[in-house]
Amino acid sequence: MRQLVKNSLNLFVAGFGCCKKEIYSTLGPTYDISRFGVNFVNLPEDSDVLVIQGFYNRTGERRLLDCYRSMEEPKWVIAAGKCIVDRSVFCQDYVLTDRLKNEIKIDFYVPGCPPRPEAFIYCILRILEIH
Amino acid sequence: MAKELYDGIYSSHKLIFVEKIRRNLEFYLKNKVRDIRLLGQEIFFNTDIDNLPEVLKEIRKNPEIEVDILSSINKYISKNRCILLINLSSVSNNFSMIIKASLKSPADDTETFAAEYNKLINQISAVYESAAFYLEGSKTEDRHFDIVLRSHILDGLDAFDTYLNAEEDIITKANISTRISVIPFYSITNKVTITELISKISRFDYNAGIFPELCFCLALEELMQLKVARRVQFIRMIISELSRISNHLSYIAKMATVLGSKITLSHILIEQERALRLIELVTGSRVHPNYIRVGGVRKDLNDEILKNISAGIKHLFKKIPIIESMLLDNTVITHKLKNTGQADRQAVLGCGVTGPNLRASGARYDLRKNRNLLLYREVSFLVAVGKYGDCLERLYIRFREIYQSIKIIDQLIGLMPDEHIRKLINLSELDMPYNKMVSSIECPHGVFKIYFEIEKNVVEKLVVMGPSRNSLYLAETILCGSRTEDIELILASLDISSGEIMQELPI
Amino acid sequence: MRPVIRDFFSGFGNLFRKPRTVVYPKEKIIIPEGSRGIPRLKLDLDSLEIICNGCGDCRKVCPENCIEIIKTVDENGIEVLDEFYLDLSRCSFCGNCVEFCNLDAIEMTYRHQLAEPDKNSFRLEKLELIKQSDYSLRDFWTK
Repeated sequence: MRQLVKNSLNLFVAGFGCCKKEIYSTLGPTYDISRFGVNFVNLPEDSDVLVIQGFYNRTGERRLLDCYRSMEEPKWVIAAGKCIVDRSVFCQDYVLTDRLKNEIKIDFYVPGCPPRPEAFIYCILRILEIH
Repeated sequence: MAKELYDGIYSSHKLIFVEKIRRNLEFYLKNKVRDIRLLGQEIFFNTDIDNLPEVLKEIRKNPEIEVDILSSINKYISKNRCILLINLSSVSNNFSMIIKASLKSPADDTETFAAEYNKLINQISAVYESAAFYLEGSKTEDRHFDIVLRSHILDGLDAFDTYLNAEEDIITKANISTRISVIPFYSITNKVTITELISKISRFDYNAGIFPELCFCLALEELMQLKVARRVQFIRMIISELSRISNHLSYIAKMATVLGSKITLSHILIEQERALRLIELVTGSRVHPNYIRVGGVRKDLNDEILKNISAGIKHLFKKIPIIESMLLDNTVITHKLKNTGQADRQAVLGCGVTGPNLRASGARYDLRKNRNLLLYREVSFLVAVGKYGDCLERLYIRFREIYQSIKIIDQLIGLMPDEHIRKLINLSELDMPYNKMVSSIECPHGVFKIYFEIEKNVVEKLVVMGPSRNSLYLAETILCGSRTEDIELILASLDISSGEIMQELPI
Repeated sequence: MRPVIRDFFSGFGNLFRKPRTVVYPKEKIIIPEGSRGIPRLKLDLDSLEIICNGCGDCRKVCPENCIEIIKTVDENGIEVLDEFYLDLSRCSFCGNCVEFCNLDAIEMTYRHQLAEPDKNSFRLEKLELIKQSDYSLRDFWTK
């Protein structure tokens, strides 16, 4: 099943922040992420990959968990950007991955502030096991 | 030579005018205010919380100074006291003032604190109507709403929720709640060194990251009375205009996504990539430049980079008219954009909106022309002004601004002085007495303002007043009366930057 | 009618042009000069030793505290660098360490692509940081 889904991955980008700008610029003709059958969708129910990025508070965390639970198996989770991989830029004590470590299992970490579009495509290639 | 001497001895007529207003205010409000002075080009004073409504009423009614706009109300906590910063401005007289007042109740007692804050805001909103937007708490919880739109997936519409009441498909009442964007960020606003702050501050406006840095550095230079080399100012102008182009292109890309014009979107993304590459060539990063330094820039531009920039600019100048005609020659799109989300000049001014959104409604207000910002007076450009203030006008004015930015960069590359940039200042041994400073700059969304308190080389408190909150308030007013299918379009057309909406979560 | 004809010709020109898309895993994406990627420790080209002496300026100036330096004393009684850790998961690629280094001992490569399932593998040691010099030529960063 996991192999079948990999032919057409649907991505859902949660949260708000600077990484979103870079992730969506992979849609452009220069990078063209659709070559690998990757689409960006607006509903978590349709998606296979959840991209966590940006800044969160308690309300945001709850919404993120809702999104994660409403996704169907098989699912992958990508943590993009420094704010998620390590800790928030704005607050030294706020570590999202520690707070949600019991609920969400993260498959790939993409560091960078924000990660370049190439770095994000590289992560997708790692999921698809091309590279 | 003579002109430079003249500029050095006499301050500009603008500053003399503001100084006159400051004296007038001191005379009118003799007993009610303390510590009234000029910070940069703005007036700043302290007042007691009991006197605040009277002071505001006095300022509002005075026909001489014509302060009719409430730009923003910000609050921050220091020593368990909540301190309000009320930012008023006058477009006709072209100056702004900041009033500082501290609330009585301690900040850790949340209930009495919230009650006092809301009571005060209600008092202010009797004088300035737009203050009602800053009410806190159960504005959206206990009422019934027909439509609730959770945060959108598009960049820019993702940091707030929209609560709507509608009759059939006409919206009767709109409420915008920014609950999701109140995030903890105490480690950037409290006790940060200057170098650390410069490398982090661009997150507050990540669509055009150079402007927060530039704003902060200009303020520090004003405080230290530093004279910056001409070449540095030229480089700063080039990079800020490049950021303006890339921000406007991403705005147009957002509009094309909402309008469903996929072919135009891919054309825009190519050009946006080109602009971002030019920015990366100059600064080293696409989004967070970390380029401006106090008294200079991180790295000088060499001839090769200048050649690359002028070639890129030529290419953009050729391609953007094609995009414009693809988007705006299409009658389906223009009919959809025309007369949706219309706001007249008075309504827009009342919300305190600045930048292209204000200019689209017919007010000619641009800090690049109205103040001595960098060296913009040495280049010739027009301030694009619209008339009708609808979505079409707002889209159209962005195209005009891109052409003007291209024109500015083209002139700057020709005029670039050949000058040696001095070594940068070592900020780690800076010993500055306690000081406050306000600075503002024209960023692509509007007037970006920063207030900070500094001692030695540590920034004790930082408050960011971005223009996007005012655009949100404008959205609340213009969504009423429009149709439900246009919500996304109207919100996207206001060019809201999520980074500027963020507020500090008190701990 | 005119816009239709013009759009036709602008699209027609695209038939005789190279495709814009960079076919990423096969082709190289050339990154603009001066772009900030993963930091590397420079070697002295004559003696092939690390230039860095472990003064710790970069650690003080780093806004994210991602650099860790351990020093030892050699047989002559001079303090030398023993181990240099850099946590890439914390790094925000601001480039302050390069700017404030007095010896020019640290440099930024053009390598960006980083994605690992394990968070701890982003912590680079001294030898790994030297190895990054393979990526400092910007054409070959896809290696």
